[in-house]
Amino acid sequence: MKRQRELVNFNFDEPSSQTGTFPPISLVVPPPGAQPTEFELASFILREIKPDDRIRLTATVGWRRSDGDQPVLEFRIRRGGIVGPIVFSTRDTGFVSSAPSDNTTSFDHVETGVAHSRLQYTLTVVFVRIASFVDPGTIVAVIDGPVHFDGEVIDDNGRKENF
Amino acid sequence: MSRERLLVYYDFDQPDSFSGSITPIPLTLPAAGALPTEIPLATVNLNLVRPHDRVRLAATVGWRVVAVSGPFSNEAELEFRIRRGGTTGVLVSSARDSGFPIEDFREITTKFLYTEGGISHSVQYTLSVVLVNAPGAGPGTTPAQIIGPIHFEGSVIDDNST
Repeated sequence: MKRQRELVNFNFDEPSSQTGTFPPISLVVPPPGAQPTEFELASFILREIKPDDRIRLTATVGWRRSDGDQPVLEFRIRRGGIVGPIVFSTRDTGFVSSAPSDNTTSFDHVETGVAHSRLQYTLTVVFVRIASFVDPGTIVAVIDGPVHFDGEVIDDNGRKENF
Repeated sequence: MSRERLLVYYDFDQPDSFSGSITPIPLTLPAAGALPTEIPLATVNLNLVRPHDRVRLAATVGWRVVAVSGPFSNEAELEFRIRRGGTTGVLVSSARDSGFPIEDFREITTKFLYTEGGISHSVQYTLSVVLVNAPGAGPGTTPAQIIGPIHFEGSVIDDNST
């Protein structure tokens, strides 16, 4: 079996590359019974994807706890825009501290079987819960950068080219 | 020197894509003096590897600390491991992360990377996790759980010039 060149397409969206440079998005505790607002952080489009391709998605998000005990955030990847199907989610928690509590959350995910001439992926964040009560409307976490989101289209292993 | 395309092989194992979508995998504190159980989470198989290649492994795991006897009761420290050659193979990489729950939960995402060279032909890597420390928790309790996502991947990257 011959080795081949696997990485066939790449795109990224990096609205912020340093802590404190992202137009801050404040995550607040919703009123009782209401859903928290999900915010778009970054988005890009990949093209000419074949059925056997692996689509590797990577994100890095910098954020800080603002108020309240241990706010839990959920980071999501959606196919399409902010109302597209959720294909990945993971959670991270801010820790109470007297000093500013800064966090970096990073993760990888792979999609397969989604052949398409044009696919959009969107990185979002949503507040999940907090350990102890705070008034609705309290800002519990702020996304303040960096925000990096990229996608690689990786071909099936072992076909075609000889090099 | 001409430029070339470097990624020559890729494999991944992704038992879970969402936070909280699997039955939590419990990490239980062993009896005093006993070794904690190492739990395999995912495996990748890489083929067509040459000695000058760089093998890059990446893992993402979602987990949570469980307060076993009330708020502030315990911490939990996990060690994530990569072994070459099966679940009892050579330990080539480890990374620790820890959490401290105020209430009954603290959800955490851990991601880490490892690269090695000098590998030939076919190779298998296993991602595993072990509970290494849980101050405040007693033997037999479960101060941490793997809740997803679980992602493990390997990339074979060719020598920079041929």
